[in-house]
Amino acid sequence: MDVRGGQDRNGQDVIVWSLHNGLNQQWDVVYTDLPEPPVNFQPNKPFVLINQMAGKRLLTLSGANFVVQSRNNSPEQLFKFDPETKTIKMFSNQLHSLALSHAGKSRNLIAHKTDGAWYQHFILDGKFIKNERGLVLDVSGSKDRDGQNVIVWKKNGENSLNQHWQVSYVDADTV
Amino acid sequence: MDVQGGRDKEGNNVITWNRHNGANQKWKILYLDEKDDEPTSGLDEDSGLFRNRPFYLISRLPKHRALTVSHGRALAITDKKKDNPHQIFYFDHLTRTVKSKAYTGKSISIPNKGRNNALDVETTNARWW
Repeated sequence: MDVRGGQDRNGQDVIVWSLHNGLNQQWDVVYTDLPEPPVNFQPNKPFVLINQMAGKRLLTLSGANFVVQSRNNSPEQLFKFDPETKTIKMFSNQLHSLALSHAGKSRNLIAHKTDGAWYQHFILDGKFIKNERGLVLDVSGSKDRDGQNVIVWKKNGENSLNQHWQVSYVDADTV
Repeated sequence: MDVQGGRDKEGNNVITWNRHNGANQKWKILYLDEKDDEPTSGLDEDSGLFRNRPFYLISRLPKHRALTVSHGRALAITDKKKDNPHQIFYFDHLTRTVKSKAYTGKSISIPNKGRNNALDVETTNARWW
């Protein structure tokens, strides 16, 4: 069973095709009577994080701070998940990870030298990027504009687009 | 002993044929004094699927969409929705097919008797396609 052309979009048809082991031929059987397995980051693969407000801006490192910015294919927009430290690292500087500033006392999001502490632990929880203590990545004030600060905040229900992110895996060579 | 043409239907003829190891040449002896009903639940070791246990088929593409019966027939991927019968399937050990919960008389099939490369759900016939 093969998702035709590898197009990951609603309504894309499913066919049979010669085995090539692509992701579009891989499926998980999820029994309905079991809790759903968490979908986590794929380890060590480069990705961008796209906020789901209308501007579809990307999480971007600006100095040591994080903001949203239109896609510019810069290394400041590229990340990877490190399963050993459970942190999201800058792909271009893997000594630094996303972190809550002031060792977790602040809600501002910064890049900080990786130490694997709780304030650097993030998981993917559906459309949310969730900190170990339950706060989620949030475009401050829901302002959908370049340069807007990104913080962590309590989850505002299920439908706040300023807290929704899409993980899009990319080929690092394109950056 | 070969069920002619592999047609799994009442009254179909049984013949002898060159061996090709198809399911229509395989037989199981069931002694009358032994329990002859197969379990309807639990792991089916041949398929690796649990019998009659509903499941979603989730694509491993990044958005993890679910296989869905679309417009009553075609198969596509769409966002997974809880308890949507068009996204729920189960393995039927009697026909050895994957059936749709929304259309329990239909199984995942390759259309046109296996000549197409599309997939859909069709009335269960337990043929190879």
